[in-house]
Order: sequence, then structure tokens, then C-alpha cells
Amino acid sequence: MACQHLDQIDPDIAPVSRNCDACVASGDRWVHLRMCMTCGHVGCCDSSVNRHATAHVAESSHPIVRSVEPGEHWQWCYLDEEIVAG
Amino acid sequence: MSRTDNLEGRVGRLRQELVEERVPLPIDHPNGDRLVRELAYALRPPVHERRVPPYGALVWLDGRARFDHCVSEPVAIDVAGYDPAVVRRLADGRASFVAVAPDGPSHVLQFRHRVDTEARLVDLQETTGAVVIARGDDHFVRVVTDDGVVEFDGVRWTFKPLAVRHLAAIRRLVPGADVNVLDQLLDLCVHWLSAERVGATLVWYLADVDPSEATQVDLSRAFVAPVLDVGDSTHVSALVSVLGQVDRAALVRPDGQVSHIGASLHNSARSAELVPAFRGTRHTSARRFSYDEPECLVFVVSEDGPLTVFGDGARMAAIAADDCRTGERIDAPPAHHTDPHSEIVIDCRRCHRPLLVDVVRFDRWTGGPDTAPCPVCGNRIEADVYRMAIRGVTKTGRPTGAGMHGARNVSPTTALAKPLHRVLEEQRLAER
Repeated sequence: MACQHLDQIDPDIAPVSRNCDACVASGDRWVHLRMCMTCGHVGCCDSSVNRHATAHVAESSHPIVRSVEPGEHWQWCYLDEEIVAG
Repeated sequence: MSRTDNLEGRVGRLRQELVEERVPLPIDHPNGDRLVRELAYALRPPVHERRVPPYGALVWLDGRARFDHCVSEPVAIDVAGYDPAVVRRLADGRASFVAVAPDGPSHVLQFRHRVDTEARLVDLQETTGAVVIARGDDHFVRVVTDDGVVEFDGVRWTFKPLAVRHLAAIRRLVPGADVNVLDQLLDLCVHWLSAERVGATLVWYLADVDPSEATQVDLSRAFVAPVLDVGDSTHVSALVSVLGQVDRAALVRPDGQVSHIGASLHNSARSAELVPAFRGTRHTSARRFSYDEPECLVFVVSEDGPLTVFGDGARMAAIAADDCRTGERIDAPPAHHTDPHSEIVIDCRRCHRPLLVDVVRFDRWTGGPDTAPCPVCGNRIEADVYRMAIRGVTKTGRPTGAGMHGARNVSPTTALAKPLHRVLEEQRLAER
């Protein structure tokens, strides 16, 4: 089934940071970065200790993130739990 | 309490340990408990007369046991309906293994020869699709999945990705290389030499080159090998044996045949100036040699295990067994799904090597360009993108006419960034 939350993607969105700022503040490291497609928040992935991207989704109810790893383009909808066409 | 009850109790504790230690095994699979159960048995098989027996099992998580294409054509003894505790005692992990299907042990596979080296266990995994568990004579427990080799030495869990997992990343940088020979060289280095702690240096020429005419190769103490081919499995033992007794490098032709053994590798003053030292003398020499001789890849296996592959003075791949809990990378590198617009080639202004770079761009990004060190010389490379990752020196994207050692007048780095597909197109036009 196609994702029902595509309307929450801002097509002109840009990331607010090049780091996971929450990890920088706490002195932690991250594995990969994800960007919120609604507001541009950048947080660390679920393989990282702090999982700030997922925490942002829980706090903000913004459902879709994309990978901002060089060479990767996929997007993920937390509500539908599926890859969304980029 | 029976032994079976003890085993079931240990399954739960082991599962918890595997999670805590971040051991990359498919225990969350619906049939994952079957794998954990056999692993729990392998870790602590029943001691008999103070002797801890070896053990081996092939576990299929999906479908029936399939060993039709198995290496060494085992004899399969049907054990369906027998007590698993009895069946497990038949499996010595050297030449006999319990075949465990989702509904329980179905056969004991009896091989004609021992298959308990790391390389043979990897073969077994690849030809059966099963997860292979083996407790060896050294009391190490190894688990081979289609991702890599997990090892427990009694204290810590380590993970080493399969050699084949690095194939795509290297091929991306050297697309013209013979993929079969590359695959076989990686397999030799990772699952034979590294696993047996045999230090070795192999120089694989990507084009037919006469080593006696190469300025940085000294053959004065080398010998011409009898017919030895890295791709011929019947030559592997001889290769491992001779490489374990020679300090200098073995030279390998493009087709995988070993031409010389015992070659000394030298470096130019230019590479000594540009290419930083890496680990010890052998690695540094190999790294700088790969800069001087861009028509080759150099494979260096340390006596303590890690394999490093050098090309154009840069490290192309590093494969080592990492501690599962603390390792920086506990999984094989991901396959790179790139599109032509997210990969570019940037020519380093200092070492003049064409670097393959994956980028992420956002039109409205205002945070300035990203930078990363050149993997050859350490020069800061800058690109006007949100994020960049330099994958290595590309042998595809070498700009036409770029001198290997000579200085070139180059414009600022950012102006040299070109999409890879455009570089390839220009090369095709130039060849016409």
C-alpha cells in the first residue's frame, strides 16, 4: 500500500545541520544521519546509541525521514513502516 | 533436570548475551531459536572424561535442508525421529555435521575429508545456504552466515565480514578488473591467509606488465613459481605454504596466475613524500608502491589477521575481525546504490589522483561546502555539497593525460568535480 503521509514532505526542505546536534551536545558519536522531511531536523539513526531521529519522530509526529548518507536516497515512513519512493 | 532442560535454559541466556554483545546473527528470525539452541550446544557440549568434544551443525532457517550442491559431496544419514542429544554426538564439526531444518535435526552429513578450516566452512555456507556452526579443536566456536564469520574465543565475540562482501566496493573503483580473479584473491587473503595468520603481500597486476621492466620491483631474490593460480582451489594449500615462508611479495598476473614469489617492492621519492606511512614498514611500502605502480592492486595480510588492499596509494578495503561490542563496524559495508548524479569525480590538487566521491546535495543548503581528506595524500578536498564521502581512487575516472608523477596545472578542486557519467562519456569520445 502506498504511503498516506507524502503530503507531509516539504519538497524544498533542507537540513538544519550537518551533524546530529544532540549527539554533539552530549559528546556522543553516531553511525548514520537521518533528516526529517517535514522540518529538516537531523538526527542519528537507530544503529546509533541515542537514536535521535526516531526520538524526533516521537516528539514531533513528523512521519518521514530520509537518509542523508552520501550515495543514499531512501526515505522511510515511521507510521506505515515502509520505504517511501524518494 | 535432564541435559535437554539445561540446554533450553541456556538458550534464553545466550540469546540475551548475543543481543547485549551486538553479535550479528539472525536470531530474530522466526526460527532463530533453532540457531541459538545449536550454538548454545556448541559453546558448552557435554564434557566426557574431561574432554570437551568438538561439534558442528548446519542450520537452515527457511525451508528444508538442502545439501545437493554441498562441497565435497557428503553422505547424508537420515536421523529424523532420533533423540537430538544422541544425534549431536555424531557431529564432530570436522567432517560430520548435524543438518538442522526448521522442524529439527534431519540428517548427519558425513564428509570424506575435514572441512573445518574457515575457508571450507565459508564454502559450506555458500553452497548450502545454511548457517554453519563449528566448535573446533582449538575450542573456538565459529558461526558462518551469509554476512560473515562470527567467532567466540571463550572471552569475546568477533565478527569478520565475508570477503565477497567487499567485492562490490572494490569493483566500483576498479570496474575493469577481472571479477573472478578479484573474488578469488579476496577469498585467499581473508579466509585462508588471514584465518591461518599467514602474513603475505600479493601484487595483482591489472594489465599485462613485464615485472622485470617495472622500476619499483626488484626481482633479484625472487623465484619464478611453478604453475600456481589463485583461482584454482587445488593450488591454495601450496600457495598458503609458500607465502608463509617468504617475506617479500608474490606477483600475480591479470588472469590470477602467480608469476614471481619473493619480489622486493621499492618506492619512489615522490611517493615517499606524498603518501603517509601506514602501520608498519610492510604496509607503508605496499601503500607507496601502489601509488608508484597504478596498474596494480596490492593485498597485504598481517600475521595478526587484518587484510588491507591498496590501490593508487589509498586504502581500498580493510577487512578484519572486530569485537562485536566495541568494533566501529560490525557489519560488511553496504552495497552502494548510487545514481549518476550523486557520484562525482574530483581530482586531488596535490597527488593528482581522481577520487570517486558520493555526495548529497540540497539546493537550499546554506551551511557551506563539505570537506574530507584525500585518501592518498591527506590533502583537504572540498566540494560544494551538503555531505560528501570519498570512496577511493577510481581507475575509471582517471582524467585523460594525467601524469602519474608529474605536476599538472589544475584549477581549484571544486571546479574539477564532474559527475562520473560525464567523465566516462568524455573518455568514450576521446577513444573514438
